[in-house]
Amino acid sequence: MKLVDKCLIVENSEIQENIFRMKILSPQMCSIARAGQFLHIKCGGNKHALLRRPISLSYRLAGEDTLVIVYRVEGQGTQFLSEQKPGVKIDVMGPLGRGFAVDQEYGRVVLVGGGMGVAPLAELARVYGNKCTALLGYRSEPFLTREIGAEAGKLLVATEDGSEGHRGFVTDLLPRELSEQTIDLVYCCGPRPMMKRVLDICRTHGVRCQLSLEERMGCGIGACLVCSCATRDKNGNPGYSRVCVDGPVFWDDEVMLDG
Amino acid sequence: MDNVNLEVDIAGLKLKNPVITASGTFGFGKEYGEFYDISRLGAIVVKGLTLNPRLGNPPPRVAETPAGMINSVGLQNPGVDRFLEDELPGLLDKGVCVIANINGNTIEDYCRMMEKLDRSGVSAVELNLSCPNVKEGGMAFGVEPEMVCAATREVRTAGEKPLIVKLSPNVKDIVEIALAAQEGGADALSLINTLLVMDIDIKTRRPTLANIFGGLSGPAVKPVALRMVYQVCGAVGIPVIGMGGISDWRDAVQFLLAGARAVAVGTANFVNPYAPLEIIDGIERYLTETGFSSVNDIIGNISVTSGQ
Ligand SMILES: Cc1cc2nc3c(=O)[nH]c(=O)nc-3n(C[C@H](O)[C@H](O)[C@H](O)COP(=O)(O)OP(=O)(O)OC[C@H]3O[C@@H](n4cnc5c(N)ncnc54)[C@H](O)[C@@H]3O)c2cc1C
Ligand SMILES: Cc1cc2nc3c(=O)[nH]c(=O)nc-3n(C[C@H](O)[C@H](O)[C@H](O)COP(=O)(O)O)c2cc1C
Ligand code: FES
Repeated sequence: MKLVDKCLIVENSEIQENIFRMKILSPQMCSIARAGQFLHIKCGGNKHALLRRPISLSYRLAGEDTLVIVYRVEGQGTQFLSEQKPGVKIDVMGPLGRGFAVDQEYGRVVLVGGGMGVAPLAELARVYGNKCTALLGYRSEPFLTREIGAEAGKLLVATEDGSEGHRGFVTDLLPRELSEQTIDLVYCCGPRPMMKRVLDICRTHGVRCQLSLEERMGCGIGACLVCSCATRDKNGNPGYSRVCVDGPVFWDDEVMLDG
Repeated sequence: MDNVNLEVDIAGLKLKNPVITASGTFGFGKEYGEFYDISRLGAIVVKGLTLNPRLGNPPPRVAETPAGMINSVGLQNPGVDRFLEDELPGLLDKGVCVIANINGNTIEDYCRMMEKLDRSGVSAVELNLSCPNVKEGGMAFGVEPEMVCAATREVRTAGEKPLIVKLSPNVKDIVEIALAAQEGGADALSLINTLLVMDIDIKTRRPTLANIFGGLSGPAVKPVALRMVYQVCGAVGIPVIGMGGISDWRDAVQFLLAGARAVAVGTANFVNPYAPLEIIDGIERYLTETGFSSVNDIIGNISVTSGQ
């Protein structure tokens, strides 16, 4: 089910310079949203930031009927979002897209997030709890580590400037996690170079991987075909998929990160 | 409200109301069908079809501009046969009035599609001579009056269904093109398609779209579209479907006043999935409040009193 609703902003706070956490009240969306899905949010009125902005569900607060998003101010749309005060309503369409494949039978999974790509992994940490290891990478100051750390069985942080955890890339931490024990699935979201590296490492270790991709969007529901990304079909033939409905989450053998 | 008549007649095609969805912005209706009963629309124009399946342009295919968007989808579609088999039956079952939008590289392609569609349950065919983002097609047909007339004439003889010719705004003189389509035997016209534009990413110093050029749509194009619709309506004797940047009922009423017999809603669907329904209701309210009993009473009903 897809909904369009004016939802109350319960909280909108800057958790780090230019990064905001917004809590949105919507009992209906909260009850059906799944990890890896996104919300398509109107950011301004028709005439300025015309198109809706896709922002991932970060995590749900089921007891409070709220959805939490974590976003970075990039341009006019996210700037608008950051200026909205609690008590105001925003126009949200969602939950949209194919989220992460979740299987409670899995014994152990690894989450790998880079930068804003950490955001959609928080709900997975909630779903898997002790069974997941979270590897989170940042350029400098981390965010969402408290929320994810409280749920995940294990949390390792990497920062490029060494301000916290491992100094370097988050992908440096992955090979060891994959060799130390049997991992059923790796979930990944972040910048393209990072996702390519994660894909390579997973292939080397023979571990399956799911990746969340980004593409600019129009409708957000599969009707306009502007959000195409290069993928392979079941027979390995190249073509295009719609990030908004066929994704944003894709399997390792579907994505073509170079094309 | 009950006694307001919203019905319009486009070349024998009776629409229950004058609000249509624009080609390429509404898929094959399925997606928006999850939000509301799409048989409430006057008609839907489906995604642009080609004779054979088409992959479309490489991404990125979209950029946002002030009050508008640029797309370079490049006619990604499953081909006319798959449309007839997989998509059309479901739409007809729902009682939707379906208009097929056809695109070709040669006149023969257009004719073959017209023949196939003529034997199907579509209500009308819209001949897209204008899609500006397909390198080999569109452009060449839509910009030369002689070509427009010739292509229209050939396709007209390939089938019986009402033929709507969709005009590109990327031409020297839109009125000349409109008259050429009328001369070729078009039953109706629709305009405007997107404006040919580009965008540049100053960070990467590359064009934002992989295709370099794309088509501009949305509120930014509305005044251009309105002017063109007004001029064309003043020159031709066949019905006109007006579109370009319509986002609410006020915009729609402007196009009707300019002379359009119906309006199409495109980009606005992306912002507000319910936009077409709200526009139908808005037109109805406007008619009631202004004391008109039929939408036909406001079509072309503006007074131009300047000395020109
Ligand atoms: C499925 C998905 C989930 C996302 N989740 C998050 C998230 O949880 N947190 C977060 O901070 N960001 C997320 N993003 C990126 C976010 O959509 C962009 O940062 C945002 O659209 C930028 O809008 P703007 O108006 O601030 O920037 P502008 O540059 O002014 O935007 C101009 C246009 O480009 C589009 N655009 C710009 N950057 C991106 C991008 N990276 N991806 C898609 N469209 C873009 C905008 O939507 C808009 O249409 C996600 C993107 C996708 C596709
Ligand atoms: C994403 C997108 C795809 C489109 N595809 C087609 C198409 O396949 N055939 C066509 O005739 N017009 C196509 N158009 C043009 C629209 O039908 C319409 O003429 C134009 O967008 C102006 O209306 P609007 O401003 O309300 O969107 C497309 C427009 C958009 C935005
Ligand atoms: S955004 Fe329209 S199809 Fe994906």
